[in-house]
Amino acid sequence: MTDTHQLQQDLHYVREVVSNADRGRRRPVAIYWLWALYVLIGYPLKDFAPRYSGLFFLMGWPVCFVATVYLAHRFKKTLGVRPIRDRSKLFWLGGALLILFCVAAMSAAIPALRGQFIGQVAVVIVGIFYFLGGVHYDRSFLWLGPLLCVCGLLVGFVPHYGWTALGIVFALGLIVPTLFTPRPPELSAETTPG
Amino acid sequence: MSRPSDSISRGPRGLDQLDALLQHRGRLGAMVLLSAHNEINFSTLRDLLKESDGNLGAQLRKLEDAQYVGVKKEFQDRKPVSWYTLTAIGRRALKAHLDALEAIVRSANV
Repeated sequence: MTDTHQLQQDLHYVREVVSNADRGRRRPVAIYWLWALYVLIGYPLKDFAPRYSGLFFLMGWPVCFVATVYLAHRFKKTLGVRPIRDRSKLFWLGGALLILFCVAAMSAAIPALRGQFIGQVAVVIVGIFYFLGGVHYDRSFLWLGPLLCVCGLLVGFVPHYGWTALGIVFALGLIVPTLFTPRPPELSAETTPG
Repeated sequence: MSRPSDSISRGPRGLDQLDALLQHRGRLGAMVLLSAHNEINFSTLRDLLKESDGNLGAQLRKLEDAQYVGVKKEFQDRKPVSWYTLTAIGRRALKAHLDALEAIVRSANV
């Protein structure tokens, strides 16, 4: 007859296995660094060369997105698990397009929002989007999202280099979690029977 | 109405519904992990379950023989990689086993 104490121990073991699988989840480090570089160049441009910042954000985004798709494809090959449903592309691409549409529509409909303010609104929306990304994909975005919202609101009150500071905060928010990402395991030869 | 002594003599409810194949914790752990993903490769399962290659291979073979899991072999960087997936039969068996475990926990009245 099965020992209930043994069952308890087995269930405890399975619970540990599942929680270890969650804790050991790796991040696509190259993608985080790519977007960190993007914001680290884009936001300081608003302080140092405001004429080019809009152009940089608009032209740089599709380039970074294509690079992201390529890097994500390579990253997935190194992962030992294949998810049942992967909606990350829909989330990030759809979300980014929605943000672009919202910002453009608000800028066109509300003249008072043009210039500095629309940039702040965009950062707040991006913050909300990152928070949702934290709910669905990466827990580190749970604090980066609200932090971006606060920074987006505060940047209007900073007289000098506020956008540069925001770019640094944003980039650090992307880079710091990658420093705590588990390293990819070496692909070892299998010795399964047969 | 049943007397308390009856339930003691019969043991906790659900024990007889447990799947003998899934009473091994390595096999149960592998099935639970596979239920949450489409596919998991051998090395990842081995690392997560902290089993040796030989032991995990033997346990997975038993699950394969029972048609609880399916396996697909691929080559990655010229190294063989086995991708395991839970079959419909395996998913049903796992659900029945977990239901039985739940019944046992409930009958324990802890």
